[in-house]
Amino acid sequence: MTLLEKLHARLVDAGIPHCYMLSSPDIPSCVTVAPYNSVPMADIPMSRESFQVAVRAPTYHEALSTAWAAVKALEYFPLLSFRQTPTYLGPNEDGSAVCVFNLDVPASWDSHNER
Amino acid sequence: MSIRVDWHENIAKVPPEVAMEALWLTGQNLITEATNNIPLDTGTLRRSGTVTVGALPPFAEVYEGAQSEDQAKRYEGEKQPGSRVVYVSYNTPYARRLHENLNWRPRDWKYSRRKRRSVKGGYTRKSRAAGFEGTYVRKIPKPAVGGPKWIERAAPRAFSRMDEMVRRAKAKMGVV
Repeated sequence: MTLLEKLHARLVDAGIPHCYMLSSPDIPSCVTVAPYNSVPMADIPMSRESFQVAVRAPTYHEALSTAWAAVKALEYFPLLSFRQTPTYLGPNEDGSAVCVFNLDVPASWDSHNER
Repeated sequence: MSIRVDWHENIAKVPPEVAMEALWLTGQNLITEATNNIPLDTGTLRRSGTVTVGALPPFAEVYEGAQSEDQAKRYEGEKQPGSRVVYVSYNTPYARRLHENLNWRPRDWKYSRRKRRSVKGGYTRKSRAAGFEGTYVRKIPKPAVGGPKWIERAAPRAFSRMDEMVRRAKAKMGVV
């Protein structure tokens, strides 16, 4: 199971509806978790994997509350650190609200090959 | 919530003013590294990147200035006494959205219309013969470049040059 799949599973287990990995279909409400960066750590075979959780909902309040539910679902993921709390990005092209937050998870290079 | 601390041993050993200068130089280097990854249309977003010490810059002021001039060194030398924080920021209303939207993709190559310097030189013999009149314009392709997370993508490279920036800061400030 990859790190992305583990994070996605946490969100699904917490009961957050319409959770997707990498990209999401064109629906009014959804949560997407996607990796965006990987920085090697000095001297050890580990890297800092960065992910973004993006929440789309018809209203600002729905987007924010779902984003906070996602934060709580991931709060006790091992070694995970949040870069920021859910941040409102403004309305989407179709008028829906978007909230995002980013997080880092240290991972050993070996763990990237785990299935 | 948690806070990440990266300990740079070399910068911890130098006087605070040298450390702040090194951080400012690192911020400038980060802007340089990030430039080619920033979405480009008119260039305002690229020009709005600035490095400040102690506080974020006045947003509206930088945004207005960025319409025509690069703002990277606008606040050079303006250091708040006792401050130990350096900010790198991009100051346009759409910067945050472009930085955080992972679905954003550069649009296809866009052609801008630009006047040719020599209007006369722009006409072909055939168009002149046909009596064509008017302002000659030619289409110039603008590259489709950039993407989200340009600060975070550039940061590791900029931070890896911290030792070099400490050396530069020492040389600049005359510290052995």
